[in-house]
Amino acid sequence: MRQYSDQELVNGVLNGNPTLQSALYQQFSVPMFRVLLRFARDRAEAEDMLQDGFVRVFRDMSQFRSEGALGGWIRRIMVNTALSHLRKQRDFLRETDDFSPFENRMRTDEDFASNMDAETLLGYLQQLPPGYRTVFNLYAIDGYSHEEIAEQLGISIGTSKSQLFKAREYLKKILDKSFIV
Amino acid sequence: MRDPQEKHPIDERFHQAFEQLPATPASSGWDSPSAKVWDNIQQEIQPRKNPLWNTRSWILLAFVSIALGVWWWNRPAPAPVEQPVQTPVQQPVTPVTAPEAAPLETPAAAGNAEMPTSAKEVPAKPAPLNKANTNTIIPVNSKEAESGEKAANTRNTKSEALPGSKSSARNTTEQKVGN
Repeated sequence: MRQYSDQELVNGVLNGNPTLQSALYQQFSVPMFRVLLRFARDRAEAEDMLQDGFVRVFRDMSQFRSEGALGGWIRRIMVNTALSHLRKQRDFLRETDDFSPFENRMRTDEDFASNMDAETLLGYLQQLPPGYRTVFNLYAIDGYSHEEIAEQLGISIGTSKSQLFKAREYLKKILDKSFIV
Repeated sequence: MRDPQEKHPIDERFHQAFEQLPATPASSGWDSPSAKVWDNIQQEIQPRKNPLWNTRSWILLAFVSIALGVWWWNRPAPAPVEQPVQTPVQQPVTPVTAPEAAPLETPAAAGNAEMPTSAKEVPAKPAPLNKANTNTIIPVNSKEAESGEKAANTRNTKSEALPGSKSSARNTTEQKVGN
């Protein structure tokens, strides 16, 4: 498949060129789907988010400024789409205390089985409650600060920190279980 | 974006796992969306030709037409209107004496005994065209006109009683006019 430059894709989409619309989707659908899989509870929800996100991308392409990379702009739209999907869920940011007592000892990377692939880790991530999963994704993987997360989700910074802490504990518990098995 | 001192081993593990994936999709297909996603996106971004007359509009139009047809078919029949029976009345024939036909005299005929018959005889400067001149004035004898008006008034206001008919009150409208 031919790789198009950002400018070619942007112009093609703005002109309604179906070939370049398809090329843009082919070029960015897999990396964006990987992002959305982390936020969604399952594959079907991630596909819904991807569809809505790309519709926004095509619709709002005129707002893209060529100062940054097109991929970064699309990724921001995808994350915002995922967050708006999650905010609609009734139990978003629900507190869950269903895990074992906190262990002070931190595991090392070796402890977490460094050979675990992304697909396996994704399975663990999707077991988290939506609030924990969202804050963990934004902070640990996408690099947002607690201030940014609080602003994006409409919560306090303290809540963001609390959700991150609980997410880590939850993941640790899941990983411990998987090691036992 | 975040403070480096807050890094956690779990964070690092997940960050590495998801941010260092190869560009090509996995052979298992876990990171590839299904084809229906693109189909749905295409449907969403295609310009709609005529949103006013979409399928819903046609269905609505058909429904309204059927409803109107059913109502028209089942509407109650109108009650028959009784037509008043008209009895033929024999009108008495009154002899009308036609007034003597007065000889028509036009001013032109009175003034000019002889009319020009050819183009040569037409005067070089014709009189200006006037509507009043084009109309032929027919003088009517004043006595005859009066008698005609009287006869008309008599016919309009008073009618002779028909043989065998009963006398009835006069039309109120006529009374008002008379007053």
